[in-house]
Amino acid sequence: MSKSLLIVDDSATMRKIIMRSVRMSGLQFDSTEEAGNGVEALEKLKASPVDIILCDVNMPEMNGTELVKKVREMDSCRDTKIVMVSTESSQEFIDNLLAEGANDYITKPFTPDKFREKLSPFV
Amino acid sequence: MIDQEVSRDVLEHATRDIFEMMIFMGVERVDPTEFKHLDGNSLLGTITFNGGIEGCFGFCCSDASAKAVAASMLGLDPDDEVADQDVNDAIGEVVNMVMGSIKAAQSVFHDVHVSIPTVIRGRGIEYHPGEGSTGIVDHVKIGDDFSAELSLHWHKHAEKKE
Ligand SMILES: [Mg+2]
Repeated sequence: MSKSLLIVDDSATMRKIIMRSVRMSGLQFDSTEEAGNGVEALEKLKASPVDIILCDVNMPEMNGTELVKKVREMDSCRDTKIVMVSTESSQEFIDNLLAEGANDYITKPFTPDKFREKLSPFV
Repeated sequence: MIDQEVSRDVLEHATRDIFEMMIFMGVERVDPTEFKHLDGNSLLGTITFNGGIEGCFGFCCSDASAKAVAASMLGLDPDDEVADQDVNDAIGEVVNMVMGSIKAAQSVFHDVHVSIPTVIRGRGIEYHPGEGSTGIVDHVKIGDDFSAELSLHWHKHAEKKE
């Protein structure tokens, strides 16, 4: 089945690094889109929902936590899986994101294997 | 209380993990006397933290070292041209990740709020901790040809509050 991915991070470099790690993980997506913050991501999602979102937490305009809340209010994204990617690694912080509706969490630094482990249940 | 030796170990491990996992380059602590001081263009990435304790982490390296780090992080060939913005972003991410690891590893840092990293470049840039601060400075060799200076400083007055 064809799957689509949206990478949301305010650093263009980090988006490239994530893209590279996803590619190295061996997972394949039919389409990969990018967004630089939550506002941009929502615009893209309204135009066309995706299967998986890889989402940074600290971003200007709209941060990752706010984006998760907004996506969870969208009917068209009911089945979208959201995996957060951040340096913030405290359990309390992660639990809070999961309670808001994120599906899983990857801590930076990461390896391609981490993407395979966390994303394969959703592809 | 912040234990300087613990901080030094945390800093070394965090930096090594990040470079091995995401940049595919080895990192080794070197004696300051072996460190080649920066005379040409260099980059300084900094990130500040405040809350229970306040201070700053800095990563300073030559332009050539920063380019090599960015190229490796992005999966480019060492000879490929890397845009300045990509180099700045890559160093910013390194600083961000090291700070994240410091925060996770030492309980005194758990509740601090961490800023967005800032990267500046120029000739003869050096990191100067603020007046009345204490901390550690480490020198590392990156791969075979590159090096960087890592500094973690915090304010003494903030430490007393702990
Ligand atoms: Mg960010």
